[in-house]
Amino acid sequence: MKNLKFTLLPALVLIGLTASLRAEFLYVSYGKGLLSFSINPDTGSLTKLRGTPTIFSGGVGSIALDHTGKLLYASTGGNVVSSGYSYGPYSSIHGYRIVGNGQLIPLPGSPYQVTGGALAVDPFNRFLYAADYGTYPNPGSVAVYRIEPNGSLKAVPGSPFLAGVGAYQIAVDPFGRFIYVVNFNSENTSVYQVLESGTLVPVPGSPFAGVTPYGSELLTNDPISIVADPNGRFIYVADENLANIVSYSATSSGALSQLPGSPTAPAGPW
Amino acid sequence: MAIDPFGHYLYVDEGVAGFVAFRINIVTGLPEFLQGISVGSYFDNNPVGVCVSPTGKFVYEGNANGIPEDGPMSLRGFKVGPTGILTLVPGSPYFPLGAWDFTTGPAPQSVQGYPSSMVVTP
Repeated sequence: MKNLKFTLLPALVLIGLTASLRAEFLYVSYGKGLLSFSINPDTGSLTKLRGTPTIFSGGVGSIALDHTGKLLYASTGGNVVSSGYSYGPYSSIHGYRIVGNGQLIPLPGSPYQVTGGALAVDPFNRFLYAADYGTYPNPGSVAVYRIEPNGSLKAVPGSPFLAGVGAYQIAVDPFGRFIYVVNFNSENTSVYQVLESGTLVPVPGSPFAGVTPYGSELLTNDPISIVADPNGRFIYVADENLANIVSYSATSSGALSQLPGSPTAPAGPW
Repeated sequence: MAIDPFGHYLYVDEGVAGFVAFRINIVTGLPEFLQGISVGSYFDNNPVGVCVSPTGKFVYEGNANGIPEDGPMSLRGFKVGPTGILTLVPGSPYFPLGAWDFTTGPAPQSVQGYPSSMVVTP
């Protein structure tokens, strides 16, 4: 135990020092391109990096980092209007390695000619998920790509997996067991168990619909955004039309159960 | 919408309605209103994206092209105080594609953008 203590202490000091010295960078996808900034660690103020923005020939949509913060993926090859709003389908995914000064270096084989969409990375950096909105009224889908050691992407067996209509955004369980996909037009949330292979299996009861009391009626929510509590206890879904937040408990089976007192009342404008 | 890395705060971009911070009740799990941030001037209108730094210390929010939709894209950074209250970081708002004096007319497309997806490295 004594030896262990002496071994751990310098390691912890080193980790703490590395964390405090490491620069943070902000990346912003704005439809036409990708902006890169360094962040002042004390004030939070932003400085645009040299060479930014990176411009794409088609629309650029969702971006995601792996959990080391060294790999960045961007959905590309989408449609874009003059104001910068971009929309799918996204026909490719660009992958980058982030080097020490925040510059983006293309990964081997990038861009990958695979379907993009709303992106999220598994907490153990095994998989990249891409929710494709699809073409209304046809259902959307979720593609799963294994992240190879060099950062390149390889579709897992069975990918893509069927989602609801208007698959819009993804949240990932912090333990990597489940993913949650909001389906805007289907007005519900699909929950999938993630198998070791990356194959997705809908959990019993999926999809789950949030409801909002309205007089004597229960209105179904139109989910547009979703996040998972980092402690694995709760899931939050933002609704566009009713402008509220539906809160769920995240059960060990993956099933969603709307919390008593939810949704949170509409807020704003401010 | 974004959640901080400790599960304490929830940040919601509400488009023309503004930008809202909630504190999460650790017992019930329900978000409780903490702070509403005005869409402010013309430049700050229409929050469409938000992210939290991995330390939870800073929040960044992206604003599309204002109302009417012919202004410049902007970003705002906020420092998270001990009670969760947000204050603007120095230099905010930023106009990374270029600022524009809207009184002279609509902004050119070159300074317009829709910053809907944002990430911060650990």
